[in-house]
Amino acid sequence: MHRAIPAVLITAAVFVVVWEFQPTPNATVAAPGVTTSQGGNLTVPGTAEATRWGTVQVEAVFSNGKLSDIEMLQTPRDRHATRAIPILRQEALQAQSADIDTVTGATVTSEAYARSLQAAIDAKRN
Amino acid sequence: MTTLSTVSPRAVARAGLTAVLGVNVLLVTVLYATAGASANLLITVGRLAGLYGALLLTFQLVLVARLGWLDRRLGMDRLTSLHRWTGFTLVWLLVGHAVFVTYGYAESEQVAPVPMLVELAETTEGVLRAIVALVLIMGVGALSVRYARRRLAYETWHFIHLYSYLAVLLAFSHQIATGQTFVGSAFARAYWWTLWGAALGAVLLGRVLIPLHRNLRHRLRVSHVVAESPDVVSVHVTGRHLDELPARAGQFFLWRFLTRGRWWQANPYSLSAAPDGKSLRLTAKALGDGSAGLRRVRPGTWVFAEGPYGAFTALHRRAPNAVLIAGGVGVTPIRALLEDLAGHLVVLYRVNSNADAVFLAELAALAHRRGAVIHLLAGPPSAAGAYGPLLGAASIAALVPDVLERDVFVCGPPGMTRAALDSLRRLGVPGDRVHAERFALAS
Repeated sequence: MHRAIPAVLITAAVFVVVWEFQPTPNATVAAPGVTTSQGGNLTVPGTAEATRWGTVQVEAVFSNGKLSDIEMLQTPRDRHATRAIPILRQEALQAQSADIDTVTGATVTSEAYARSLQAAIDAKRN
Repeated sequence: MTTLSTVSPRAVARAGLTAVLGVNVLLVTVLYATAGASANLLITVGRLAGLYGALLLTFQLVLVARLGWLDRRLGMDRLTSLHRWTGFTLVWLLVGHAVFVTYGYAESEQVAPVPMLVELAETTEGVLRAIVALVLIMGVGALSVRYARRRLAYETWHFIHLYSYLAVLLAFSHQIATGQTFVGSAFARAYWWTLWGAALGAVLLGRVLIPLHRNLRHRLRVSHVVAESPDVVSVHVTGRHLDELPARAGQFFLWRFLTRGRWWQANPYSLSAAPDGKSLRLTAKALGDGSAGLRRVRPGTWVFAEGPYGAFTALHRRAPNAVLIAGGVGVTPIRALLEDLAGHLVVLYRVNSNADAVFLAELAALAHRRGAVIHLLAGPPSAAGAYGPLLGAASIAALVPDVLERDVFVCGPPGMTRAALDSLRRLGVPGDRVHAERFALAS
């Protein structure tokens, strides 16, 4: 009985910590079209494209006007998507546009990737 | 005053519980299928395990809510035993949920399971809460395993068991925040809220509101304390409007005597006299700390009683006549039933020595009035009479030749109860005519 009071207090403290814990989502959700420049680089987030496998959102990096890199802001939790994304990046960098072939087995992710990248390229032009 | 039911109340309650559970399992499965299975088989299995585990968690709450309807039909001992096995099932389902979902995500993201779990907890709403809830439920489950349970005082075990409610709160918020079945469907969410509302509502009603209301209405106090033998004591309790208390002979209450040092202890004691609408009498043997102290309870002490509970009553009558088998202090509800049961009654009263036989004068007077027969069977546990062990099949058949045509009510210590039930089975007494209740708190 005498141990009940400290037990309740400790429990309450731990409970509050667990309850108040705020998870940090995997991806930083950036508003599309808001560009940031750093040195000669221009970084433009694309739109967040929801698919049934998860959300795809890219961030295009331009150096001296050229598409130099594509980073992922949001990646679906799906192994097909995980496999497809490096291939899609390679294709887009080669094509210097969002006009890319879909990766077999990851059609939905490929299309969402292309739309998000197109939005980033459009936003940079404006 | 007794009507024989054509369908056993136990069977009605079992059918009711099975139907409610079955309908909800079906509904949960349909809702899950509607929301769409995951592309990953492990995740699908894990999510289903989680849903069924959570459903069982609500079922658990109903089983311990002490709802009068269920309790009168199944009895607290059967409900507790059902709660126990449901509990172990749900622990395994929830462990399965965590393991399958983690491995499923680990597989699809090609990450090792442990880092995957850490990542899920850090990035996904409600996962940390779920992990804490699971650890709590596993802890409660582990301490309820017989080995651990025997080594804990009832109060300690019960205190730890209350952590289940924290787990329920944490788990529910996890289900609503991340459960794929609920995120996308307003109907599924409404159903889930209703289900949990009903389950928690039942607990609140049965364990808090009804006991509070009854005690405020009846204002129970000790009127006097009587020593029945060197180690058996009766406490007489009076109160207001006791005629409205739906207590029957054979039932028990969880009694708290509100004195400093023992108000937090609730002990299950049977009524040892049929309730007469003016007072209640409970009788107990000086076994644990609680019972030994009963002798010192003063007249005027306030009493908080939860109940009446138990299915050891005339509600379960299936035959016009009955045998009542009492062992030791198990005679207390038998003594009350002797007043209450209709038909011809035979009492077999098993004691280790004549000195242990309490209520003999009362039993004799009642038997005389009722035309009932009492056999006092005295002797150590190993004692044997002309027909073998005192509660062996041959002895019972010799004392009660028409035992097969009677209801049999058995109450006594575990060993004696087991022996009597075994003899009745051998004699071929139908199961629905045998009424036995273990009267002990969750053990």
